[in-house]
Amino acid sequence: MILGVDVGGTFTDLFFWDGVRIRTAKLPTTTADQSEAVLAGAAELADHVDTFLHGTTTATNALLERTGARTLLVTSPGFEDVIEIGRQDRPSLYDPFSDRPPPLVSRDDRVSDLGGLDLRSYGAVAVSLLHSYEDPEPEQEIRGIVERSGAHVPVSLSSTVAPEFREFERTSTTVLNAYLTPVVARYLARLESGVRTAGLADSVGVMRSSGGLIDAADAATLPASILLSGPAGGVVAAGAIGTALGRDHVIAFDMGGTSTDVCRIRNGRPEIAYERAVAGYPCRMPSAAIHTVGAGGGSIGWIDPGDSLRVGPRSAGAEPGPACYRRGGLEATVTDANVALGRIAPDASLGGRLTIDRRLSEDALASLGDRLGFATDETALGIVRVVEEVMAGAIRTVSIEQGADPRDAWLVAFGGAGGLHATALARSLDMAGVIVPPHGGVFSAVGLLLSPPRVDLARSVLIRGGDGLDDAVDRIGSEAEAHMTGGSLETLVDVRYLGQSHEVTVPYASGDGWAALSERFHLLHRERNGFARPDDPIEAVTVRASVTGTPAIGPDEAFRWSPAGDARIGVRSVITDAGPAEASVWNRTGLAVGAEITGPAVIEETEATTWIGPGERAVVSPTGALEVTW
Amino acid sequence: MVIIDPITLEVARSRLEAMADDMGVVLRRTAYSPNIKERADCSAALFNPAGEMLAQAEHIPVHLGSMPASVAAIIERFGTDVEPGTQFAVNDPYAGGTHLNDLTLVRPVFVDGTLVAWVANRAHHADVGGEAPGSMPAHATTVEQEGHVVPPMPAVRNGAWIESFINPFLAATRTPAERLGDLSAQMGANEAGALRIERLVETEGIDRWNAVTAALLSYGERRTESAIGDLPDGVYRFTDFLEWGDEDLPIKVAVTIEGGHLEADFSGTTPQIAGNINAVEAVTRSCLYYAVRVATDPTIPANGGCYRPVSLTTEPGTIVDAERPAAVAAGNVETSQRIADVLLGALAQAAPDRVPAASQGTMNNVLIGSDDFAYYETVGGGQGGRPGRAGMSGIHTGMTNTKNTPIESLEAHYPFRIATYRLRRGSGGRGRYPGGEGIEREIEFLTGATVSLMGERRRLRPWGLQGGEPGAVGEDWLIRDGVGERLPGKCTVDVEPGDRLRVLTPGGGGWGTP
Repeated sequence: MILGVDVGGTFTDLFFWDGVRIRTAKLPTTTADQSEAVLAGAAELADHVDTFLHGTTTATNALLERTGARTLLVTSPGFEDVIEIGRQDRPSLYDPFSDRPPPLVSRDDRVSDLGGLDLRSYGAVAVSLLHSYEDPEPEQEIRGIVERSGAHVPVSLSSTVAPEFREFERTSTTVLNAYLTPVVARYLARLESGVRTAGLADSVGVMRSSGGLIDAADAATLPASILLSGPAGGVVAAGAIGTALGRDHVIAFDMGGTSTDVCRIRNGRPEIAYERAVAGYPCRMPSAAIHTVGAGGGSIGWIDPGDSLRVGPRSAGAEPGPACYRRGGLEATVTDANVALGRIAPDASLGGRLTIDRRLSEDALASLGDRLGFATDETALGIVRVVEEVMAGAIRTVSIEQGADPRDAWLVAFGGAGGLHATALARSLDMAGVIVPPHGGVFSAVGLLLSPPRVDLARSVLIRGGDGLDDAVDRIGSEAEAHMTGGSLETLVDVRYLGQSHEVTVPYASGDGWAALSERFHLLHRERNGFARPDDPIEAVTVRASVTGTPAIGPDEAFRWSPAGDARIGVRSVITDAGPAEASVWNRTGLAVGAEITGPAVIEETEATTWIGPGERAVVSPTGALEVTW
Repeated sequence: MVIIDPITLEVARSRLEAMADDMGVVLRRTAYSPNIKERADCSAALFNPAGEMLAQAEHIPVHLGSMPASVAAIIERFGTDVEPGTQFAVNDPYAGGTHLNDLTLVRPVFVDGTLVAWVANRAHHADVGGEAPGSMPAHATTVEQEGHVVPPMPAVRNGAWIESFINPFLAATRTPAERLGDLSAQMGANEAGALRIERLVETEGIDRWNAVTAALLSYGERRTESAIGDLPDGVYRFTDFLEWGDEDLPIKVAVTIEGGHLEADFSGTTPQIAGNINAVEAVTRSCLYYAVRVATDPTIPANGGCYRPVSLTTEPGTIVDAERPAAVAAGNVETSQRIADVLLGALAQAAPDRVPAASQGTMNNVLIGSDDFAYYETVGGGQGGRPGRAGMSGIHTGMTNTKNTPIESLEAHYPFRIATYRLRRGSGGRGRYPGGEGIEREIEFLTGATVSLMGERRRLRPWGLQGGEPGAVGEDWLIRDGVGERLPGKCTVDVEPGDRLRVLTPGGGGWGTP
C-alpha cells in the first residue's frame, strides 16, 4: 500500500495504490502549513501505508517569499562579494530597472573571519571558499569552529553541497541550501511526526528536483536538492506513460492556470539539467530539465499600445480567476476563450467546487473584441492562436534548441488546460501525436509512486589526459553507493574541449578508458552542437554518480484502465478554426479500451477537458491514455 | 490588398522572432570559439527585400542598429537582383561594418524566383589578423593596421566558400581553424533562417507575407512613435568627454523631440583622431537606438519600423562618424559607451523618471598575453542610481553585457591568480538613490607577461542626476615589491612574476540630492 501526496500552489493531490486498486483525491492546499492538508487528505484514503511519498513546495515558497533564515556567509578573504557580482551581466539589455535578485546574504553578513561574531544571531551558516572542490579541509575547519561555539546553527559547506568548480554558482547553491535548511527541516520534522502519530507510516520519502526520491531526513539537510521538485513528479509520470505505450521520445506538456512546464524525455528518462536558476539564483543540483513559460488557462488577453492582441504573462490567477468563474473577473482569459468556443462545458463544475458561467466569458471577450473590431468568436479563436504560439515556442526551446527533432516525439498533455491545446500545438510542430494520460488531474502524485529512490553526487576534477579519472570515478561511485545499497549505479563525466566553458555530460564507467570517453564526447557533441573536432584536446571537468533504486510501482500498475459509467454525453455546438460545428461530447471515465473518437469532439473528466479537433482521432489504449493522431 | 488583423499580427510577430532566435541558436550551438558560444558576442536578424529589419535576436546592444547597415551595404553594392544561393560577407567598418572583428554574412531569400527577404548574422571573430593578436592593436592609427578588411563581397555560392573571400581571410587570421568553424556556423545559421522563411512564404503566399511584414513594421513604428510622443517636445543638449592622454575630447548631442519623432544631432563633436577610439556612424546609430529604447519603452519589439521615427545627424570626419582610413577598434568598445552616456544625458531631461545617472561608462578592457597565451576580459562596474532605486553594483552597463570568466576556471588555464575580486565599497556616487559600486580586481602574475589596458572614466567621474553626486573614477595600479604605481587608463606594460595589477572600476553616479 503506497500513498503519494503532492502539494501544489492551489491543490494538494493524492494518489493511493493498495496493490490492486487506485484511489485519488484532491483538496485545497493549506498554505500556512502544507502538512495540514497532506495529513487530512491521507486520512481520507488510508489508515496505514507501507510507503508514504511526498512532493512539497515548502522550499520553493520559502525562497519566493524570502522567509528563509538569516544566513552568515564565510568566504575566502577578498571574495566576500562574489555572491553579489555573480557573472557581472545584467538581467535585461534595455530595461535599466530590471534588477538582479537581491543576494540572500546581506553585505554585513559576508565575512572571511569568524572572530568577534555572535553566531547565535544567525539561523544558518554557509561556507564557500575558493577551490574547495579540490580541498575541502579549510571549510571543514570552519564548520568545526561553528560547532565548537555551541551556537547550534546548521552549517552548509560548499564542498559538501555542490563540490563543483565555478565559485559563483557553487556559492549561490550553498547559500540557497543554508538559507532554506531551517524552514525545510522544521516542516519535514512536523510532517513526519504527524505521519507517525497518525499511525500512517514510519517514514516519508521526498521528491527531489531530479525526479528521484530522498529520505526526509536527508532532504532536511539538502533542501537545495528539492527546490525544483514541484513539476518533477508529472515529468516522471509522463515518461512512464510513454514507456507503457512504447513511445520512447515524449515531451511532457503540463499546462496549468498561470504557467506551463515542458520537458523532453527519452526512454522514460527526463533530460537532466545540472544547473538552473531558481527565482534568479543559480542552483547547481541535478533537476529534470523543465522549461517554464508564464502562460496558462488564466492568462489574460489584452491589446498592446501597437494594437496587437497579446496573451499573458498577466494572469487572473485563482482569485478572481477567469471571468466565467463568477468571482468578479472581467478580463478575458484563455479559459474564457475555451468556454466561449464550447470546448469547456458551459455548465462545467470544475472539481465540483465551482461552476462556470458562459455568458460572463462571452461578455469579457465581447468587450475585448469591440476594441479589436472582432466578433466574440473571432476574439476567442485569436486568444487560443496566440497562446498556442507561446506554447510552441516553449516546446521548440526543449527540442530544436537542444538539437532534438520534435517530429518523432509524442506530446504528453496534462494539467487543467493541457488537453485543450495539445493537438493544435503538436500539429503546428509536426509532432508524431498526442498522449492524454489517465489521472492527469493528479499526475504529479502519480509520479511520486513511479519515481525511484535516488542519490546524486558530483565533484569537479579538471583532468586532461586520463590520469586519475578512474580513481575519481571509483571514489564518487562508492561514495554514492554508500548512501544507498542495492541500487543501480551510473557514473558520468562532464567533458569539454580545452578552452571552452560549456561541458557535455558523458556516460562513463571506471575502466572504459580515455579513448572511449573521447569518442562518446565527440559523438554527443556532434548531436547537441552540430559539430565535433576529434583532433582537439579535451578535458574532464566533473565526475558524477547517481544511484537509483526501484520505484514503488511500475507503469503497468499505475496505468491500468477500468471504465465506469456511460461514455456518451451528447453533442454540443462548438467553434472550430473552420467555423461552427457540432461536437460529440464524452465522459472520459466511461470510455472503454479500444474506443475510437473522431473530432470534433470534447472528452470531459473532473479536472480537465480534452479537445479533439476536426480531422483528429483519439483511441483509448489499455493504459487508459488517449492517443490522438491526425 | 490584404488586411492584417491584430491576431495575425501577434502570431506573425512571435513566429518571426522565433525564426531570428532559432538562427541565433544555430549560430551559438555550432560556433566553435568561446567568444560566440559563451559570451554570445553575436546577433541574427531577418529583413524585408528593401533591407528594413523584421526581427532580431541580438545579445549585445552594439549590434542593434549596425546590423541593418550591413544589409544596406550589400544592397547598395549588389542591388536586389542577386543570384539565389549566394551569401555575402562584410566587415569593412566603412561599408556596413563596425570594427573588423565583427563579420556579417548576408543571404537573400527567394521564393518562386522573387526576392522575399534577407537573412543576416554577425559574429565577433577573435582574430582577423593585423598588428596584434586579437586585432585591436592599441597604437593603430589606420584600419588596415587592425586587420583584414572584407568589403561587401560574395562569400558563399551554393553552400561552398568562394575562394576570393575565404583564402585571404584565413591567410590573414592567426587562428584559421577556429575561424573556419565559426564561419561555417554563420553560413548554417543563415541557411536555417532562409529555409524557415521559404517554408512560411510557400504556405502563406507572397502577397500575404508582404502584407504581414509591412504591418509588423508599422506596428513597430506606431509603438515607438507613441512612446516618443509621451515625452515632452523640446531640444535637449548634452556634452561629455573621452579621455585621450591629457586631452578631453568632447562628444556633443542635441536631441530634438517633436510630435513623436526624435532627432539626434552630434554636430560640434570632436574630429576623428590618429588613434583607435574612432566610431563609425553605424556604432553611433546603435547607441541611439539603445538610448531610445532605454528612455522610452524597452518592451517594444525591435524592428525597422521602430527606427522610422528616429533620425541621426553626424558630421563626417568626427569621432562619432569616422572616415577611412581611421582605426576604429576601441570606437566599438569604449567610445560607444560615451556616445550612449551623452544620449542618455540628453534624454534624462525629457524622461527624468526613466533614465539613471551615468553608469561606469567603460568596459575596462584588460588584455594579458605572452608568446604562450592570450587572455581578454572586461570588468563590470557601477550602474547609475535610478529614479526610485539605487544602481546595481558590479555589473556591465550600456553597450555590452558579456560575462566574466570564473576565477577557478581561469586560474586552471592561465599563469596568474586572482588575489581579490570584490565590490569597491564606497565608490558609488552619493545620492537619494546612490550609484552602484565598481569592482576591485587584483591579479597576481606567476610569469612575465604583457598587459594592455583600455579603459575610460579614469579622470572624469560618471555624472550624477537631479543633485546626485558623481561616482568614483576608475584606477589602475601596478604593484611591484609592495610599491604601487598608478597606470594611465590606456597603456601597455610588461609585468614580472610576483607583480600585481589592481583594477578599480568606476562607480555609478548618484540620483537625487543625498
